Amino acid sequence: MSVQMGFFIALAAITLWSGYMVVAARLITHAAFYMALSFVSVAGIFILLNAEFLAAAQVLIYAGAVATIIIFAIMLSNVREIRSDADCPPGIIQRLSLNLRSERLGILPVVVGVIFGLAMAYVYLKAGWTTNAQPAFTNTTASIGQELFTTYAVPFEVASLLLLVAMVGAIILTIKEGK
Amino acid sequence: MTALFQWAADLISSLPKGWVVLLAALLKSIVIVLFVILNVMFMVWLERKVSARIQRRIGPNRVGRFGMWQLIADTVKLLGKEDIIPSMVDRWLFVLAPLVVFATSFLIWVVMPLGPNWETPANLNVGVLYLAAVTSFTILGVFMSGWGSNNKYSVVSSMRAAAVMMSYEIPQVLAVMAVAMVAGSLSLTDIVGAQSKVWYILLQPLAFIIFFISSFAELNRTPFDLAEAESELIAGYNVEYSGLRFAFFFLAEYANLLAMSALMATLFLGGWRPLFPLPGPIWFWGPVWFVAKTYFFVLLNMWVKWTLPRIRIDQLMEFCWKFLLPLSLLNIALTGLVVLARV
Repeated sequence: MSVQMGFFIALAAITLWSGYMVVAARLITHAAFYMALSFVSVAGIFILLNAEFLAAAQVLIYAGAVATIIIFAIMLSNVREIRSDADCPPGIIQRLSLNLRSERLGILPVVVGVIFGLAMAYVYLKAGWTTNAQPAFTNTTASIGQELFTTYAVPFEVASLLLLVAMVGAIILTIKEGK
Repeated sequence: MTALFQWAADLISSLPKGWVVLLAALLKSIVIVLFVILNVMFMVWLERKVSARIQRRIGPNRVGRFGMWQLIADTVKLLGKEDIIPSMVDRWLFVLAPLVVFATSFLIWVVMPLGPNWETPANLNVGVLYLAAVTSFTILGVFMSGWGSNNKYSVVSSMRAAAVMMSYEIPQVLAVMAVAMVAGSLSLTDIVGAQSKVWYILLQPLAFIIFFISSFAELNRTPFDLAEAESELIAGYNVEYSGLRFAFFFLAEYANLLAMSALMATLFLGGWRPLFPLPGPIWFWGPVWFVAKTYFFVLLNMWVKWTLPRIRIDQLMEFCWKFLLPLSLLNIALTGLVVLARV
């Protein structure tokens, strides 16, 4: 087993575990921090795939901005606990068995996960990707920049316009009447 | 002696390649951690001395010559304190927060070129983007401590800190982008390489001013230290911490100051490039110049901190969004025009 494989297994385990804890955590704040952890470990997997630009963007946008804004929203709201004490018995084994039997934490995620996994497997088999170890580009950042400003300039600008509209909308919503 | 080296070389070449990379990375990290810790200890003493001089005091002068061993005494005191975890805190977040903040302050050094032939990992040629990404972990750590402490002063302080850091990160990153546009690369090694003729403080004065102002907000230091405004928030997000856990926050603040100063030296003062040639090999003088330039910014920061009063939070936010952000966009547009004209 190579070092890379070891890192991949560790990162994948952290991603899966934190992803599960996002829906299973008792406190909504903890769910937000678990989400940040899963974003960061996905960025680690991107680095293993030689996609350093994607990894940096993932941390910058998801862990740095999205997770922080979500924590902000949680702190400004009144919701604290999303599970009652009965949902969270002490002891990991009891809690896990209770969670797996419950509808929202056990059956539904498993069904959704299996469907998603099958869809991904179907895509993977259909696409017929070559699995050569050599990265296609040595400088991914430069090639991504080239593509963004030439081939995909219009979709890129449309996405930024959409974000601008959302931002203006959010500002309008916070303006108080009669001010 | 040669036999010993031969044995070590044989041992290393017999290992699989992945392990060699891992071992080299481990050694490099140990060097960096030692470098940062020693500098941080020196900076704590320096700050006390500088602030004392600015306020016409003498500063620590009892323990050792010039009070040099004061920090050792303080550290022993901090380590000897009882480890108190208040009963109503969110235990996991409370315990993890100082570690997240402390560990993050070391991450910048992964891509920092300390001298010539100081290779950054080839996988990370996104240097500048990496810097912007890892500094955002600090916000998460501050949130963890503020929320985990279960104290309303801590929560208010951590929200202020996060708001300030997130806002000022934007003009700061945009200022660095202008530098990257002139250098034609995101890698810090290339940015230093591009400054062989002229330093970027001359080519990008606007970017430097924006970056310098934003660095105070990012570091939570006066005049922008709204997160730990003693008069209104006691001590801010670390008010419930004591002993070793408090020491982590304290050391992280200085480690961040060192990293930010090193970054300014790299981006705007040519990093390890000498101002004038000195006799001797460049691999020796390079790091010396780098540290000297870093301490130039450290001292500048301390001078400002102990001279100016704190400003209000609404003034701080307005200054960022209504002045610095448009200015940094203007700088990018101007830089773009110049780069286009040159091509």
